[in-house]
Amino acid sequence: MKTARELVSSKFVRIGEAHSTAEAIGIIFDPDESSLREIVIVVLDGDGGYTGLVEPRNILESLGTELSLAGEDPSAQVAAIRRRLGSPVSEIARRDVPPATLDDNLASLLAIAARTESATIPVFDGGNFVGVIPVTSVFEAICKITLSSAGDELPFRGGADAS
Amino acid sequence: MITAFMQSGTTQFSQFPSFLAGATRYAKHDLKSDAMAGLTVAVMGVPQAMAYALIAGLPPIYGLYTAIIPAIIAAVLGSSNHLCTGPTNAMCMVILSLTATLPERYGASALQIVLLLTLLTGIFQFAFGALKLGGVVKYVSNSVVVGFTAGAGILIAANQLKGLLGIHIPDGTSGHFLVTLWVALGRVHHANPYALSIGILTIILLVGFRRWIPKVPGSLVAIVFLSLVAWFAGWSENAMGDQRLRIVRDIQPITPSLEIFGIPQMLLQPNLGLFQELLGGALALAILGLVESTSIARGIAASSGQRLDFNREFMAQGAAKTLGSFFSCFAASGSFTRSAVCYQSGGKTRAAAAFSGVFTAIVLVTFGPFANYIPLACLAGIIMVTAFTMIQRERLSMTWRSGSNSRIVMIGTFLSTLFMPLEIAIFAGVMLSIGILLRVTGKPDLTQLVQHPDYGFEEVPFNRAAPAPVAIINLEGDLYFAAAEDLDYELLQALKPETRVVVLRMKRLRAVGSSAMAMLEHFSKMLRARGIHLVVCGVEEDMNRVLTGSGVRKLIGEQNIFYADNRIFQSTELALARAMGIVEMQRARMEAATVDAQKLTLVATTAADVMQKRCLRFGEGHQIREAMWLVSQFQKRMMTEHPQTVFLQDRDGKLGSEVSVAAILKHLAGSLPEEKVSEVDSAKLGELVGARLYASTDSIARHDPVALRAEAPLAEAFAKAARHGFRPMPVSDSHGRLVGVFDELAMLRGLTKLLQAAREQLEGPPPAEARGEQPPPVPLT
Repeated sequence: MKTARELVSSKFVRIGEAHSTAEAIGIIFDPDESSLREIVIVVLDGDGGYTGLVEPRNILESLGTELSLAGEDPSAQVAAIRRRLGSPVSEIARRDVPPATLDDNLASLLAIAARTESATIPVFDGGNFVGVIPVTSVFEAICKITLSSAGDELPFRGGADAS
Repeated sequence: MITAFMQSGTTQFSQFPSFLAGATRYAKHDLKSDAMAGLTVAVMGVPQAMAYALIAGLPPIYGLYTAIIPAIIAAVLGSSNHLCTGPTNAMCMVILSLTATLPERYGASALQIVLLLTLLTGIFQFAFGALKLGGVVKYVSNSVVVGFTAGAGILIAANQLKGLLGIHIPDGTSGHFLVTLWVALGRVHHANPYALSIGILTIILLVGFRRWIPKVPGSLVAIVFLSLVAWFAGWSENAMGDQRLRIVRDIQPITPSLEIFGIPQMLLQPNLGLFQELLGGALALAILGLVESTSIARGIAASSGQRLDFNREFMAQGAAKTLGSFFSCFAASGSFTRSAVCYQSGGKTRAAAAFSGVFTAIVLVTFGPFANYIPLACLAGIIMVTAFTMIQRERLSMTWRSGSNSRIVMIGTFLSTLFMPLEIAIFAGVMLSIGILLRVTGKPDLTQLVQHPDYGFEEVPFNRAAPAPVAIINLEGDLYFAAAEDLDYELLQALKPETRVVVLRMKRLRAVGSSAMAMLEHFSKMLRARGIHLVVCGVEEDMNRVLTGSGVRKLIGEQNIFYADNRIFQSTELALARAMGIVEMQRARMEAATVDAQKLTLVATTAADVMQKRCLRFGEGHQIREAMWLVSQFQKRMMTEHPQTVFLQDRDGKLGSEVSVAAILKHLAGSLPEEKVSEVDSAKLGELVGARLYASTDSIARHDPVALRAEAPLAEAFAKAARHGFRPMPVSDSHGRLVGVFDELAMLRGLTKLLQAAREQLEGPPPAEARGEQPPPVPLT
């Protein structure tokens, strides 16, 4: 039976609560490639304890909100963004993502994934944060057990495009 | 302190009534065995006691007294069941060393000086026990004891050459090893042939009995036999002239009397100068006696399984000497040979040692006059054999093989014993041990940790780890002022050109003080000057307190400190993750700094300029399982873990609706039971969700997707995104056909461009650092 233990990933970066939003963007955004690094940011408190998750969407929400509040004035826009970039990352961390434990089975993970809009589920073991499970991994695991009979060559009744 | 002393003493001796309480029960079981063991010890110990008195420079009778009173007192008050207290060779040698020249200088008898020394020694030992300072003996290492014992053995043997040869050596040369040896060897040609014969025969008999008939007390047989030989041959008669054999009576006749109580004369007629001179020696003698007694008691207890109370033993030894000095006894100690014989002869309780004292007294009263005829050469032979047994080859060899530090201490103590006053030799050995200990602990253990993907961390020698952005240094041991000296510069050796972060693991560090904090502060500053971050982990409560108090905690930064946890390496793992985060941030910053400025000038103003063209398109009316397959394949091919949205188009290519991964998961989760989800295994889950896979995507699709026009300005795009929770939005052309997606990446790109445009409009300087400690990296600025 597949459990969270098999799906848990260490593809995340931990930073402290005091770090700025700018630093979080520095981790996620790859300006050279003009792409997003698929890294989850885990925010830790001073004792190394889990505080919350930061995903690109959380950053966008905060920046976008500041920007929209600033109106049309360019100087106000720049000031608003600067203010947001310098503020602690803990202000935008999501703390409400339902957690999983290492022993949760796939059904439990599906139930958790369905309850959250986050792309990542934090995983704990005995109260200690141990890693994350991307929601897509849960999705993939379910595809594996339900679509296995069809295999990769699932016949379509229509066209598909991934351009 | 005095109150504590008294209270402690009261507590210690409050246990003694138990000795009496168990007496009745004792008599039935152990009396016979203890009496037999006591008799055996007395028979074996009487010749030894007389001989050892000679080592101390006193008449043999005082050796007998010392084998009676201290033996009984120490047995009654002590805790070891088998420790026999009485004269010992090492103690006697130190007594001689301390007092040899004093009678001439202070005009007092050697006996009275020795009794004062014994009293002071007893007081010291009693105080050690009462104040629970039993730990003082732990500073005398095995190497010191072995070196001292071997040196003392040689000194004793050298001092007894005169007795063995039957020659006279002037006063004032005793205790000076080389002088004694030189003078004795220089007078070999004056050796008394009868004395030499008796001495050599004694040695032969002792060695022979010990080797072939160990159960028979060889010394007693030798004394009785050779005394009779000398008496019948008339070798001790005055008629022998210069060749006369000297006997015990010549020093001081032994009288069969126990009227030995008397207040030491030096208490009645105190001499401050003498008192001051003896004080240091008494302390050395007290420590030597305690080391001797506790090591013997501990050794036998290891076999008997008895648990010892060392503080009580100290008090008992102190009381034995203090009270013994009022009964003409010199400083006694636990005797290894007598204690071993007591244990091997079946002694069960402390009464056995007490019986040995009683039987010695009986021997004194009964056979005392006969002891007067024992040749001194016979006693010298006994001492010679004992002296050479003090050079314990096995223990010397073991200490020699135990490393250079043990060797240095042993040889240092051995040489000190031979060439320095004995009381100083002990302290010299102790100081040498402590000096070497400080040298060893003056450098904490430095290693490096390397993370291994399969089994956590691997420990490698310091400065041997492969170059990496994160250097994990493991610091263990003592970090007191000497150890902290120059440690910061040594730590720098672990840095490589690739190093960006140093993780300092500080678990199990001891004796951390201000020097260590100063070192850490300096190290932190040196790292900062090199653009390297410092992260510390394994910080325990004591270290945390020192870090906080010294202000170094603030310097390092709370986010860079990880506290020790019960789970091994947990704080190291967290610190490493933090370090990797810093490395990643620095990399991102560097990359941001090298972004081609030209790129930023290509400011786009519409959604089409920043949108992602790659997106999932699908026809309407498909089953959910088909959409799932499509998403799954897309994710595999694009190697992405980002949840995708499938945009559904009609036959004309117009955007109709959208299905997100979240919507699919919600749909499937609807098949789960409300309770006991944890009991649903994979097979059951397959069955439950399987039924829902064949539903149409239309049933879960969002039919009114918020779409963006391709030509929509960014400001409009962001306003729309903000209204809809910054979810990915499809971008369509003027015909309503899907051309791309305004997803998170597109939004970030758009934000960058918006800000760039705003900055250009303002022509302002680049934004200041968001935080004083670390400049903001950001492409957005």
